[in-house]
Amino acid sequence: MNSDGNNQEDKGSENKDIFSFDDCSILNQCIITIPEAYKMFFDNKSQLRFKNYDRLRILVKKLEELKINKYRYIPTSILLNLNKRFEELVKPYRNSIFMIKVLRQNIIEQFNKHLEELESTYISIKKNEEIEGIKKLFENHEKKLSKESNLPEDDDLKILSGLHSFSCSGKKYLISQDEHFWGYKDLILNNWNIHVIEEWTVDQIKLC
Amino acid sequence: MVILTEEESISLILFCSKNNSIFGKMKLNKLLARLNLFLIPCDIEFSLNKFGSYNANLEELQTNEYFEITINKSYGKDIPVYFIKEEGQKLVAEIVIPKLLEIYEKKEISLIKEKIFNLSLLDAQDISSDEHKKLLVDIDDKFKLKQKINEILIELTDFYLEIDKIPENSIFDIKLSAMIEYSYFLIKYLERKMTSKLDDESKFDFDSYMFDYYFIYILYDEVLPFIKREFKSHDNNEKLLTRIYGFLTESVKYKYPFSLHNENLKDLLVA
Repeated sequence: MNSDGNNQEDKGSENKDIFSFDDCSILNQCIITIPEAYKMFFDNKSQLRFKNYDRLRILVKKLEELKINKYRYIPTSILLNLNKRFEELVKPYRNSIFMIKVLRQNIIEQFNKHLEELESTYISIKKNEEIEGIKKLFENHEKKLSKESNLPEDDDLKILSGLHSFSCSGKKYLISQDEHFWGYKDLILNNWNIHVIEEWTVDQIKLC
Repeated sequence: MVILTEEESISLILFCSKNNSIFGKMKLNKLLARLNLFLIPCDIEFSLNKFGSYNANLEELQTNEYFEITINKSYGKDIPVYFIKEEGQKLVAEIVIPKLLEIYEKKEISLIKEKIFNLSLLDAQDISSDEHKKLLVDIDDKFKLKQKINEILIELTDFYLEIDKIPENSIFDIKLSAMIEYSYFLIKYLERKMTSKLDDESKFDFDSYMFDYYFIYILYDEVLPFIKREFKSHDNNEKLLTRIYGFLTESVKYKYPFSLHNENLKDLLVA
């Protein structure tokens, strides 16, 4: 780790671009096995894959083949994201699912295990607590978003601040499905030179 | 999830036993069943006969790379004697112990080894009596078992009613809530299933799954004390929680009705 607390880049890599994934884009690479007892709530499927799973896997495979490093952000706000993700999964069945705490634990444990397996394959970028300047800029350029609250959350700003202060000789990419990022992609690019890539377009990225 | 295969389980028992060997299939049977009371799931299905836990497949065991079976003539009978081989010792050192370290501390594993060693000094009948006493499987203990089930049900109901007070701010708390919920529905299932059978004090419960008895024992001896400790002093003993909850949910897989692997589990839940 360097003095910022960030893991150093793999010096063996020729490509100095940074392809970073937010917590959700990492979770979206997870396949969830539904316990038999609960399959009836998920159209009798035994496995769940998230919407952009295949696209993300295509990108990750390309990056790995070209030995291009992948990055993630620490500390993770993972429990918050896991709980959020679980609630999204069970929303249609909330009133009829039995032993919901048991199901929650089962699914969160799978996510957690997936994250533990991934840890060694991603380089960490530390989220930066200094967000006042970034926050003000967003407030001054507030716009109406269609799915999320208008302004990014503090954790989103810490990701942007962390990526902005992370040294890199190439381009900086942030992959996310969060409208707080892609909804402000021009602002983010113009001010911090960070390219936001919508998660559903990642399979179209041209890598060299 | 930690689960020992049949070979791993047998190798572990032989490894821990006096002279790394076991005399007689009944004794091997009993010692293997004992792994369940140590919350070590093994992929061996035990049913209940008048001698307690029993697995018919152990009759068919053959010498393999991990252990050898020789025949000893004793009182005119052919008694199998099981010896661990070098490959079996290696299996224990390289596979079994690392598996156990996921759910036990090193010193706890040493304690289990010691317990298995001491049990291996007893004869099968004594190990069986000890098992019967712990699990209350005998006809004479039916009333005690009923009382125990009721006591567990009352206590778990109280904890279940408090379950929403556990803030789910950590993986530990999420798992603790899950264990309380699962245990509550499990004891309700067991209470409904076993009460009418226990009312007939003349009959031995030959249709019972051995896990009915293991779970009652574990709910009383492990789950309730754990929950009480956590509510009182917040020890956050993650390994112990993983061990107990893992045993309740994953030791039975496809062999037992009350299981997350049963697609009809919903039908067994009592409101």
